[in-house]
Amino acid sequence: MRKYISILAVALAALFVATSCEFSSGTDPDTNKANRLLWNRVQEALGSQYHHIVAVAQLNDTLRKAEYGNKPYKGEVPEITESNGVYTLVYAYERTYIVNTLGKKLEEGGEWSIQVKYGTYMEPYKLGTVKGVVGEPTKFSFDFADMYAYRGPYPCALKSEVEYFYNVSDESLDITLFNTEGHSVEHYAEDHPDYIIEFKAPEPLVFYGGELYSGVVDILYKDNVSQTQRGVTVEISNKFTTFAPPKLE
Amino acid sequence: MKNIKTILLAFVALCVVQGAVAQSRERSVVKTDSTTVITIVKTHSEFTPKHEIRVGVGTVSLPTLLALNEGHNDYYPDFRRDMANADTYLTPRMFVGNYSLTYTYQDRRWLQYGGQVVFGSSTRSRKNSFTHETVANLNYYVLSVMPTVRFSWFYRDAVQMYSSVSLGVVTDFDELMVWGDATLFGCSFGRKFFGFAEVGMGMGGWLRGGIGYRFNAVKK
Repeated sequence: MRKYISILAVALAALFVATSCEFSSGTDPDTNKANRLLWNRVQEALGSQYHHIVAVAQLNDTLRKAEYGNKPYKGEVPEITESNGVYTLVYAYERTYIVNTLGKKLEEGGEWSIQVKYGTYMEPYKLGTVKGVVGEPTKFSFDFADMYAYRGPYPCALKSEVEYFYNVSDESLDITLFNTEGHSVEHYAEDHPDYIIEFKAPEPLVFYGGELYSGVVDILYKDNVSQTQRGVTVEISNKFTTFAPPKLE
Repeated sequence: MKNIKTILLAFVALCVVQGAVAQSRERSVVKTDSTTVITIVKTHSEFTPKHEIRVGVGTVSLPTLLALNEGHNDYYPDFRRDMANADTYLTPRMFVGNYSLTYTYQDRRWLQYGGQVVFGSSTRSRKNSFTHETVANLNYYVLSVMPTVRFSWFYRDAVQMYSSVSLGVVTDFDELMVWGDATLFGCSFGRKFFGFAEVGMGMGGWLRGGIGYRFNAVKK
């Protein structure tokens, strides 16, 4: 009897080894994954708003007749038309901005209202307002509060103060954001989001050639379902990113 | 060279068949005054009904692949779910085999009927990225219960070749479905205590193997 049991055990063990296989591979442990997820969302928000900031700067330069040479920008240059103080900027039909300047330039302290339209068939969304600084031709502040003007799965609101310079060698705008703060939610969340990501930049965010070059961002993630929160401070230096324990409360 | 191989294979097959057939021949010789009468009588030993129990293991098959390989996954991106799992990682999903237990009753040389239970499983766990402790088991299980009919198209005491078909229910402990199994080609070696190997399709897996035990049914 013991012999038969031994044969049974050995045979089944051999068959088990022969038939076992791996269906799918696992994942590697990553202690920075949560930090990267949060930073990717904030980067996406900053990147999307960057296009709006550039559009405002390009219209401002057109109105103040800034001289940048024959081809001022290496990137996209909009087709600008005007009607009764309302300017339309068309970027190859992908984005269209409708800017009501109320007849005032930004360096005159003008306050502009901006709408954005994506593609050719969608209705324009109200993006927000832009305020100029008297005597400062390349400075303004913006409050893009309408999250659903963001084209993508994760809407965000952003407000900041901007100073920009034309980089002759790169033929692009170098942009610095001061006192930046914003938040982002799930696209379909509307009034009661499952979570909210809040972020603040205690140090200026510097963009060279469209890329974030340096700065510090404090991020706070609040999960409204599990009632938990976590945060991270992101430090960017020479385009490299490091994560530090959060300072945001 | 090809022809020689064919001839050799045919010769071997003939020998095997001849040997198998010869087991059941009896030859008797009667001499009379003027003639010699040779009588060859072909007899079969009397068949005794048998019970048979088998335990086997099978490889992956299409239904087990569908049931055990992340069939419950939600493929829609969910940032909140990703954040909740961000401090964890997944181990590989391992298929650990289809295990079967089969009972059949054979009251004819060519026919067996009974039932089988097949259990399949795949294992995976979610672990904490910092401490490597298991935070969740993500194992999947599937269980099927099916009546079985087996047809022996070559029967000898020590060697049998057969096919079978089963139809019953299978559950992943979430849903219940009707499913089946078929052995396209099976072969068992041994008398009372035997081993078997099969090629099939369905819940049992593509390839199966195992051991079993036969015992005579008690005569009433």
